[in-house]
Amino acid sequence: MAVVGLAIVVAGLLAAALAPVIAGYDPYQFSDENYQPPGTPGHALGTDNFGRDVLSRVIWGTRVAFLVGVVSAGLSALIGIIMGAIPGYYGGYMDDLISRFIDVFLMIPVFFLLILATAIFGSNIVFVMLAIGLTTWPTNARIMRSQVLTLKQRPYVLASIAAGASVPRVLARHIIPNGVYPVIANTALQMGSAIMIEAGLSFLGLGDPNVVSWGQMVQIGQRHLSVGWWMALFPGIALLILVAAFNLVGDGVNYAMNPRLQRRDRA
Amino acid sequence: MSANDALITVRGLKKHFPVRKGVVAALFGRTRDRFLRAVDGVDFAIQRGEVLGLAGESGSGKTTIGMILALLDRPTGGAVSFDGVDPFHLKGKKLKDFRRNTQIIFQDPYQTLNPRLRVIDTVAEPLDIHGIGRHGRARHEMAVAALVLAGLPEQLAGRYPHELSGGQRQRVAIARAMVLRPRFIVADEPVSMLDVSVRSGVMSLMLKLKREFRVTYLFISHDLAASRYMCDRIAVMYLGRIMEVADKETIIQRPVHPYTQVLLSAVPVPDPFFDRKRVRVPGETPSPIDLPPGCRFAARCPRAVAECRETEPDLRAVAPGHLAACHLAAPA
Amino acid sequence: MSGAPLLDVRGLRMHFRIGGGWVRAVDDVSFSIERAQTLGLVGESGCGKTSAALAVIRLLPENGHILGGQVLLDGIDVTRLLPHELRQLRWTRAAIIFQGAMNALNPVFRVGDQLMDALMLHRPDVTRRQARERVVSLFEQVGLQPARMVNYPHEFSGGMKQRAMIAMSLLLNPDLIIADEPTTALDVVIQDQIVEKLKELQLQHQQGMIVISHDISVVAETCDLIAVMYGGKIVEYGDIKSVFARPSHPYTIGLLRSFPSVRGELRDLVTIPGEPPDLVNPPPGCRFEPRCPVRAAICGREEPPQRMLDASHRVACHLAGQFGPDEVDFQRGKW
Repeated sequence: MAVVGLAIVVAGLLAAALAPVIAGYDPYQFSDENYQPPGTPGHALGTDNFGRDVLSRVIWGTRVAFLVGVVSAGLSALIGIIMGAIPGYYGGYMDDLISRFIDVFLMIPVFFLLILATAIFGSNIVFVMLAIGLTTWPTNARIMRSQVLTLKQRPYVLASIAAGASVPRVLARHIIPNGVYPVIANTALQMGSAIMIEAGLSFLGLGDPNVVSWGQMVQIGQRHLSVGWWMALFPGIALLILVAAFNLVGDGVNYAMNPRLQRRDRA
Repeated sequence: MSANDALITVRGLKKHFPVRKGVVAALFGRTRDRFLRAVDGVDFAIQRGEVLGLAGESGSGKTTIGMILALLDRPTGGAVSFDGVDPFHLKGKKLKDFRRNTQIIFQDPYQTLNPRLRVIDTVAEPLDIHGIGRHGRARHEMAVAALVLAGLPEQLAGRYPHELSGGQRQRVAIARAMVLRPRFIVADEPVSMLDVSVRSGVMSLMLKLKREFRVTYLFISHDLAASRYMCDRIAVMYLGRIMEVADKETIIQRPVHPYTQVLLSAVPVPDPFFDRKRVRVPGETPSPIDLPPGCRFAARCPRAVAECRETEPDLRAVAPGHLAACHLAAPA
Repeated sequence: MSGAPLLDVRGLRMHFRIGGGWVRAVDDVSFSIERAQTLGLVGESGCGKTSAALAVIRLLPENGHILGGQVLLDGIDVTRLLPHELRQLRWTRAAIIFQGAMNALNPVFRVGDQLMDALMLHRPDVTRRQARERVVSLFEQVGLQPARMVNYPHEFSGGMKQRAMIAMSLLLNPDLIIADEPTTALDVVIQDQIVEKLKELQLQHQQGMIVISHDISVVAETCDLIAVMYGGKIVEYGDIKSVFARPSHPYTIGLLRSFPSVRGELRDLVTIPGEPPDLVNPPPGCRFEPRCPVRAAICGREEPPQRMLDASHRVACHLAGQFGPDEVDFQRGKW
């Protein structure tokens, strides 16, 4: 199943990369042919209230989706790894302090925090991506920290220290590469959830109006549901498929990790 | 015993771990801290070029001492001297340089190598850390030489740990320990988790390296038979203190400490014709947290007298080169 | 006592499937045990000793099949039993003490309850009170205070848990006990007490026992018979004193001399060079041939026959009797 997810993700990436080539229309272009239903010649998925081709907009929407997913989840992973590995390795007051901070942070519902943030700072897409990244790293930090706590007692880590390795080397070469798998799995899931968050913000009208995003399409389509149900349906399906795909990939990474961890050779 | 040519001297070494009070105990005002006295006042010296064995059961403190001497843990009391230098006062580059002298071999061959690194990278890492060898090529050759020294074929260099057997992995660990040509190696139960037919090979390798490179070893083991084979002298530990230390045949044939006698009498012998006389002792090893006063073995000792339960005996010489911590052992 | 042995294993063959091939884990293994006798199965990892012992009560690995041979436990052919008959036989006539058995106790139930439940499960006719009495009696026999029946496993030390597992195996008074590596993970003094207790109970109940161990010193002290296994086959078998006094298979010789001992003279240890054979595609001829210092041409071609050295000692070697133990020189090998 993870392979299916991966295939979908790859297909989506290709769509994003090749959007100018495969989409038939400029997604921003208004036209007179508004509210055309799906199946109309030239518009496989119909057009919206401004006459823009739905199919092209869905294809172009993959760009925003991937951008948001990769940048937000990537940032979250990066910060999470550092904020988990360093306190976890050193322990002591720093570790206690940061752990408590993370505990508190995790109590706050991220989505409302983001609504607040976009309300205050505006809804530029770049800002939204950064904001998602800056609010979702605590889970990764926790995951990384718990891995570090286990790994720092491993004989190969101790052997490296005994040989004179510095802390950065130990972390970079031994601890993080061996402990990062759960973070990778979580990042795949976070990509999906980042896309959903952005879609949710757009749906509430807080998204960036200058980009083509599926959430935004759903928001617009929701107002015209009776006359153009296809305007909301297709971006909605696209969201569903891509996020599900990321979840499958995340599960797959998780599953792939476990048999590896269990495997022990006979002497 | 020859003139004192000690590479490492340990005086009054202590390692105490605080035991967390339970919430209930704290609430009810039991504020006196409790400690797990893993190592509780240990004195010994390791002569240059010798293999000193630390023998004992689990909880005796031998692994903790090994970690301290490998500079992976700090003592909470006492002093360690390595060729006149106190390694625990070193910092930064001085400490890093010092680490070239001491290496460690661990017990579990399946956890001793980073699963994501190839064998050659694991062995070359100490060289990278200290910038030995003018460039990558030279280091690669030195690392391969270390592998060959450890009895492994060159082809294994590019493999990953999961492709190797337990015995091979342990040899890689030995190669890694030897690549810096250390003067001292802590071997913590290096063969306990290896299959029996592989043990003799690894032990023979360690002895060969000792002879060729004049390496001094601390050989930690619960297996007295292996200790007898590997070591020159053996120190027997119980609950954080040394009970007896002497050269191996003296410890094996003429132990004076009751605990050593009990331990030896419990070791099975691979000879169906040998009639082993057991020295029976009640109960199990108590916890090293709340120890009663006096000798720690008194509660189970078949020969304990009143004095044993009152004062803790010092480690004293009962013959040249033979020390025992027992009130009943006649001093020299 | 009738003439038939308690356990008679003849030509047992057990293979299991892994990846694309069949691992010939137990390949034509034969041995027999009388009541109150102990057989030691020794060999390195992967030699088949555990597989063979477990196959006796048809505890097979995943994808494992018994392909041939007979296992006669008090005259009953275990290989031919139906599943429900097999279930009745297990624990009542033959019981196992698994390796690391102390971890087999369920941490959320009291130790005494676990034993009582196991007893009542196999014997529905036994009342709770009768079960309790039996468990009290067993606790005393293995050296545990009966008051401790109400403890949970984490309140028991390693040695105590091992004793509890021994008690559990004795619940239904089996005729045969299989002890898989009974001395790992315990300190040497406790190990000694446990082994002593096991022997005492065996004598008391006149049980047959199989001890699987890689530690030949434990086997030397506790067993009457020894079977040295290599590559899925028994290479030497017989009365323990006879095999130790006159080891006749090169592998046995190598194995015995690779063991350090606290007694006896201090000698150099032997290391047998090479690796154990691939049991999916074993070499033709003798399985030990690639590592054997005294091999001859025939050894690589034909599997060696079992040769009787005397009434109670047999060896599977083409050249048996043609060399003495001191003439087998392993130093010429690699490493």
